[in-house]
Amino acid sequence: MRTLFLLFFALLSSRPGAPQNLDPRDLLSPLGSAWPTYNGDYSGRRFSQLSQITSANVRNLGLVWTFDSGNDPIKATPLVVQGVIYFSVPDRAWALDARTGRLIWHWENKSRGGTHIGHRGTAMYGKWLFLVTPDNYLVSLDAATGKERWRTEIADLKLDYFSSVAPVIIRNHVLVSPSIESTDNRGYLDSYDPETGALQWRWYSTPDAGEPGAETWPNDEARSHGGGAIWIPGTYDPELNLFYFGTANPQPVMAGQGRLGDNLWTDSIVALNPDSGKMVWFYQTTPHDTHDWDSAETPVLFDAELDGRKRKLLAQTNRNGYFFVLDRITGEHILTAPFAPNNWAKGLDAQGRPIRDPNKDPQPAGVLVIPSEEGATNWFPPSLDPETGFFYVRVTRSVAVYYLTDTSSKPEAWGGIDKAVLRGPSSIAAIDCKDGKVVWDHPTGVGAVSGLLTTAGRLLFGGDGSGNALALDPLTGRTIWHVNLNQNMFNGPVTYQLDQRQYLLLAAGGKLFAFALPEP
Amino acid sequence: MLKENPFLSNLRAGSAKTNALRLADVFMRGLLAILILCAASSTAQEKKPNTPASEPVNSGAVDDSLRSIYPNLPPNQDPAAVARGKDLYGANCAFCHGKEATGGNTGPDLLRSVLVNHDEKGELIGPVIRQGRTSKGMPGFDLPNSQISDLVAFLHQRNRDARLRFTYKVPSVAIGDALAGKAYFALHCTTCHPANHDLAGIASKYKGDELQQRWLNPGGQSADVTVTVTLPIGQKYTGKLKHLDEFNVSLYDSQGAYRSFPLTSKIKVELQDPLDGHRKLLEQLTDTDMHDVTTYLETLQ
Repeated sequence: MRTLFLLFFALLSSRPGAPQNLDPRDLLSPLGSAWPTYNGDYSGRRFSQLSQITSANVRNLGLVWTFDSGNDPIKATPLVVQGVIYFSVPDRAWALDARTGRLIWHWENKSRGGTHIGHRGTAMYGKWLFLVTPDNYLVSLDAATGKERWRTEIADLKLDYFSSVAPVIIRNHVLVSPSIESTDNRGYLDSYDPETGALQWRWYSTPDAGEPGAETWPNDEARSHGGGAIWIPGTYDPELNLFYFGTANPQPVMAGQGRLGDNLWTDSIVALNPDSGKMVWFYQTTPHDTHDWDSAETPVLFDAELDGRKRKLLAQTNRNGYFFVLDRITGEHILTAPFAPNNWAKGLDAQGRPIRDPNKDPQPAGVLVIPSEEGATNWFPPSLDPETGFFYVRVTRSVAVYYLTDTSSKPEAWGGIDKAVLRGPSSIAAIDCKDGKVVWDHPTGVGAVSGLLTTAGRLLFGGDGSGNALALDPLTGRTIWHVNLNQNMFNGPVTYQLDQRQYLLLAAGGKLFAFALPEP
Repeated sequence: MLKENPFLSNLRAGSAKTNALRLADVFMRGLLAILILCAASSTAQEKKPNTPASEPVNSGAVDDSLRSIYPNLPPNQDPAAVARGKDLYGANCAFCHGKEATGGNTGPDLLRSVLVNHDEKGELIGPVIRQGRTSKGMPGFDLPNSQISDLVAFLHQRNRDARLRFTYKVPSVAIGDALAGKAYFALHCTTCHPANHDLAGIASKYKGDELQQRWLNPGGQSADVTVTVTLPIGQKYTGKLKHLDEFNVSLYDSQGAYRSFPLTSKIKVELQDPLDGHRKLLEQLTDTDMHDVTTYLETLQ
């Protein structure tokens, strides 16, 4: 019955001229002809079942259409639902015909301000589209017309919060979270009603007074201004009804002397019940972070056999240079392995957490740290191909001198700064989920920041630092196809199928490019 | 395993071996050179952009460009008002709110204060100063409007300065041993910098942390990478590298002509990068070495 139900929706979604409507139950199916959420599906794998474009025919890809947004780099992952593409940059959103690239509507926010450095994208529920604005509104638009339906304020702009995350829809919950720029605030995740915009619950990234975890802060002042913003959309396991996401750095960012302790739940992977907003488990990837490592990167869900037992697992490539695998039912630690050089950690503790070398904490005269604050990777969406069992990540290599500039007992905001003395080179790396070993590492030059996509056509898509889009063999990392788009890719590539034709949708700079095989 | 060389390609490709590997390696080394030239314009960093230190601070242009990214940044205040406000703050407020306005034993942190952050021009702060918060033990201060306005300017400037990390001042970096630094220099640097002749006066040109970053990686100077491309038939082209990626190499030859070559497994590409030595140093340098050399270079006024 369930299969029939899904099949019905699959048919509906590919029918030409179907009205724009996305039932949240559709999001439970594996990634098919549409790309209905930031990560495509709830798993965060960015692995598409589509297999018309394959490693054997990818060389025949041709350009079908382009669209110039006339804007800054598109960092959002587009949605593709029932033949319509929705994408965004800060304060702007567009709907395009996925067959032709022609504009359907364009929406613009009359901004009050907020940091405008990136926007992850939109989410859809029923006939409605949702996005956040840099000035901290959650906005609901009519997906058919782009007309604004309502907006609700999710954070205090004057306290230096801003918003860039793509909302995640789970049943009747719209999950969003503001980012923290510099000021010492407390991070949080909110759930809103998709019909009314009413707040359903709020979860804070640092404990309340007296709550377990509060003892990892020296005092209430430090704890209640301790940071832990949630920058990246999370993932979801419907069977466990758990939402997974990462929290960012503690505040003040680099001067840790006013917040001695592990600083829970900053720099953590968190599992939370989306109905109650209650945390079920957490795992901290950097205790007492003093380098702005965060734990913001996508926790990717996968299942694998471990010691003869099938396990529900979660993997994350962290900005701190380590690859983590956890049991996603319990949060039990399975594996930690370095995927890029670092010199800030002295090894791993009994729970697999990196042990911070205090000699590499920022210091007044500077210390050389690998990597720079840009991290070993960053917000770039990774991909996991269940057919190879490899986790694919954009790696960046860098060195910086980290300075402690605020030596007072109560530092503010950053309290320090890193000055990069080497930026790049970058690569796309394949990590074996079984043992965390880097299987191959494909150089992509300096400045490459694109996300990654894998498909059942045995392809891995990404970009390099010279404006080339690449298709690699996911098993070996060998380049199979490339095209110079003349601007770097900033977002995650996506794929969709319409009228029995598979499209590859890339963004480079402020332009979208749709590729497909020649029509028969 | 962790301490592998971060500067050379970390290639462990399964089947992509021999020619592809060699090419990739060349590609990588080339990019290393290019990255030095491009470091300041790198776009990799999205979160919390770090404005280059070389940019002049507090100029009108910087303020405009910063506020286009951070529209909520408090504007720069009149420096004279800030200086007066600082004195007033020290005399009247620091006892409870701390010397740096970050809170004391009895008064809250004023940089994190919702009221201070919501204030634009004293419309919220002013009444609190005047009336006090008697329930919390804060007395009122009968100050003239001009002094309230100076205190407000000080608090907003303090807030702005705390938010803008690239304006943070790095204290002295010369904490090392100049003699040890000189010895390190003699051992590691004199091949390219004989008898220091090209470094005389460097400490007059670059100060403090800028000097330190500069010598670690002088990427701001346009160091030209020389490339030699050898075709399968043996023909060689040498010149200034223009571009190198996985698929193409281009250069300006000695006659100034632009030449571009598709990268195939049969083409040999060799690079000579004058900054190679600096990157090698970054691989092996300890923090003590770094501070010693900086301290030594600071003597080259």
